[in-house]
Amino acid sequence: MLENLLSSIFYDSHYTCCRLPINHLFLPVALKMNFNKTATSGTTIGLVVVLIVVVVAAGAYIALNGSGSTTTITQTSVSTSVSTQTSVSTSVSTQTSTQTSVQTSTATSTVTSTETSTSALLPAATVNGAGGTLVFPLMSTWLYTFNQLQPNVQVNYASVGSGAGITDISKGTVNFGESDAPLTKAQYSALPAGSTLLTVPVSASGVVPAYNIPGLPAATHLNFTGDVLAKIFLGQITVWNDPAIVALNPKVTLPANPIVVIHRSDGSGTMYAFTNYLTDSNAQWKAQVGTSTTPNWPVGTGCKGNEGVAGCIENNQYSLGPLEVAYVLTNSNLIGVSINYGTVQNHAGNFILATLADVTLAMQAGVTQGAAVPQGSTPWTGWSIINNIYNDSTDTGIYPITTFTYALIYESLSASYAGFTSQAQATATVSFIWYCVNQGQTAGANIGYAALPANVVASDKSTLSLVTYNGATLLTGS
Amino acid sequence: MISSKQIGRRRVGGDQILKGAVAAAAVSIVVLLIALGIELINGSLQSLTTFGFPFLYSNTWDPNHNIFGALPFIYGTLVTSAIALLIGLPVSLGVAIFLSEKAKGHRSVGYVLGSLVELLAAVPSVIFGLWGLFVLSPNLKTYVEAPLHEYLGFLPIFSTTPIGLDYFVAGIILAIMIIPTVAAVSRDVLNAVPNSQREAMYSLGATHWEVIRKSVLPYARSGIFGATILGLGRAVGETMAVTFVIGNSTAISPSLFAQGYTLSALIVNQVAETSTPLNASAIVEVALILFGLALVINIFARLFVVRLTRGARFRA
Repeated sequence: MLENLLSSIFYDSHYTCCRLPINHLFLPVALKMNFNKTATSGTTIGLVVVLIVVVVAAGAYIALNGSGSTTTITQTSVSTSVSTQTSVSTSVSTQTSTQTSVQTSTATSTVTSTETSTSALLPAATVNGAGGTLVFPLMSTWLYTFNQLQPNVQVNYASVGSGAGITDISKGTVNFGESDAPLTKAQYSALPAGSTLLTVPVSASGVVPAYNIPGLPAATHLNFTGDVLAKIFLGQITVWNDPAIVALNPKVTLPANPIVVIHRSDGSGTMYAFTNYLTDSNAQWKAQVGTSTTPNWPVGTGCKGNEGVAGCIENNQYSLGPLEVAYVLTNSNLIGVSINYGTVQNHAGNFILATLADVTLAMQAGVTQGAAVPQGSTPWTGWSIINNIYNDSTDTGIYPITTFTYALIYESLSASYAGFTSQAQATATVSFIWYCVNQGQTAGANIGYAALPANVVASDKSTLSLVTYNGATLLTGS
Repeated sequence: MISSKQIGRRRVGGDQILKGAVAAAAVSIVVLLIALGIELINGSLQSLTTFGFPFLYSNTWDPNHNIFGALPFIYGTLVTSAIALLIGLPVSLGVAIFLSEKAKGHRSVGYVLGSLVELLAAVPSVIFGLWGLFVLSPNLKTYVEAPLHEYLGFLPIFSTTPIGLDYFVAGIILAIMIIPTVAAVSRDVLNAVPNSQREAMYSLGATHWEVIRKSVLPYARSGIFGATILGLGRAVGETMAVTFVIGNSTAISPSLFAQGYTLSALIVNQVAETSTPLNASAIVEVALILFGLALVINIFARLFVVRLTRGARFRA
C-alpha cells in the first residue's frame, strides 16, 4: 500500500502537465508546431480530428450551396495535410462573405432602383459621423446604399450613443453628429463660440409597452394609458389586476400577480421618448423623475439594450417593459410567442397598436400641431413630437409615443471648428444627410423604421439649404 | 574584414540599446499608471469639488437632476465580489487539489481537465453575460432562488421575491469567471510544493488527505492567497457579464435576491449618454473609485503575501 503511494509520487515527481494553454486556444498553430513531432498526445489529435471534420463539413455545405469551385478544394483537403486545411477554412470564409454581400446588394438594389439619382457623381471625400444607437440599423443600410450611388464618398458612422455624439460634434471631431434627443441648454452653451448647430430629423421610432402574461391569447393586446404606465413605473400600481388596468381592459381576465417592471439600464433614446411621454401624462413623474435618456427609475430592473429588455421580459412571467417599435416589428419569433405588446391611448381616446403607419401619422401631426417646429438655427431644446401631439384630439390614428432621431450639423462648415478639410467633404456630408432624409427613407420599412412624411422632408430640406462652406451653399438640385 | 575591436564595440552598443529599450518599457508602465491616476482625478475634478466626500455614501444617482452618489455601486461591487469568492474559492481549491494531488497518476485526465480550466478562463466575459441572462438566470431563479425564498424567506438576505436578476446571480456568474484563474494559479502553486514535504508526512503514516491538509496547503497558502486576490481583482472589475444579470437598480437592499448595481456596470451603461459635464465628471469619479479599489486590493494582497511568506520562513 505504502509502496504504491510512494512509487506514484516518485513516478510523477517531474510532472508538468498542461502548462501551455496557447496550444489549446489556437489549435491550428498547435497542429503545425506539433505535427512533425511524435510527442503529440492523444487528446490533441482527437481535438484536431474533430476540428478538421467540422471545417470539412462546413466547407462541403457551403460548396454544395454555392459555386462548384470550392467542391474540388474540399475533396483534396479530405485526403491530405494541414496546410490545405487552413486554405479551405479561409476560402470558406471568403465564400460566405461574398455570398452575403451579393445578397445585400440584390436586396437593396430593389430599393434604390425605384429612385433615380439626380445628382452627379461627387468628388472623393471621407465623412465621419457619430451618435445614437437607435438609428444604427437604418444608418448601416444608408451607408451601404449611399456608397452605391456615390462610390467616391466614404461615410463612416460610429454608434457611440447620443450623448457621445453631441460631445463629438461639439468638439468638432466628427463632420456630423446624431442624437435621439435635441440638445439641452447646457449642451447648446458648450458649442464653440460663434457656431450654429442645425438639427435635422432623419428618422423616427416609437416605444411600445411589452409584457409577458401567460395565458393571454396572442391576439389580445392590453390597453394602456400614459397615466397608468407612469403609475406602474412609479411603483404606485403594483399588480396586474389593479382597478386602473382592469378598467382599461374590461374583457380580459387579469391575474393578481405583481408586475415585474423592466426598463433599459443603458442610456437610450427609447427611454428618452418613453419618459417624455410619462412626464406629459403624470405630474408626479414630471416632478420626481422627468425626461431623460438615463432617468433615475423609482422601481424596476434595468436590462442592457433592446435585446436585454426583451430577454428580461421573456424570462419573467408577469413582467412589463418598454421596447422600441423597430425591435418589436422585426422580431416576430418572440412577439406573440413569449412577449406581447399593448396599445396606448392617444388624446382622441383611441387605443393604438403601434404600426409604421401610425408612427408616420404621429410624425405628420407632430410637426403641424402644438409648438412650431424650430426653423433654421432656432434651438430645439424641449421640442418633441410627444409633447406636440399629447393634446392633439383632431388626429385620431396617431401613435402617442413617437420620437424623432436627429442629425446634427453646423450651419457654416469650416476647418476651424467643424473639422472640415475641403468643400468636397462638406458637400458630401450635406448630400449624405439629404440622401438619408429623402431617398433613404424607403429603406426603413423592412427594418421597422417609419418613413418621414412629406412635410418633414420639406422642412429638413430648407434647414439643410442653410448649410454653407466658406459662404457657398452646398445643397443644390432636388 | 571586421576586427575584434569592432565586434566588441558593436556588442557594447547593442547592449546599451537593449538596456535602454527594456528600461523604457519598465518606466512606461509606471508612467502609464501615474498618468491614468492623474487623468481620472482631473476628469472627476468637477464632481469631486461639487459633492466632496459624501459622494461615497450618498445613494441617489439622478442624472436628470444632477444629483450623484456612488454608494449603491460600491455596495453592489462588494456584495457580488464577496459572493463570488465565497462560492468560487472552495471550488477552485477543489479543482487545484484534484489536478495537482489526485490526478497525478492519470496524466490524460489531468491534461484534459487542466486544459479545459484554462479554456474557461479564455471565454470572453460578454459570452458569460449572455449565457447568464438567457440560461443561468432563469434556471437559478426556478431551482435555487424560488425554493430558498419560499422556505427561508424570513431571513433578510432571501426576503425579496426573486426574478433572476440580482446580486446572487451576478455573484454566481463572477464565481464561475474567477474559478479558472484561481484554480490554474493554485494548481501551479500546489505543483511547486516540494515532494519532500509530502514524503515526510507519508513517512509518519499520514493519509493522503492529511498530507494535503497539514503539509501541502499550509506550504502553499501564500500562493493560494495571491491566486484568490487575482480572482477578487477580476470580480471587482468585471463589467459585461455582471451588467447583464445584476438588474441595474440604484436601490440598496440587504436581500441577495434584490436588483443592484456595480461600479463597472454603471460606467458601461451610462458613459455614452451623459447630458451635462457634471454627469460625465461623476462617471469618471466612479471610475476613480474602481481604480482606487483595485489598487487597495492589490497593495493589501502584496502586504499579506509578504507577511505570510516571512512567517513561513521563520517557521522553517
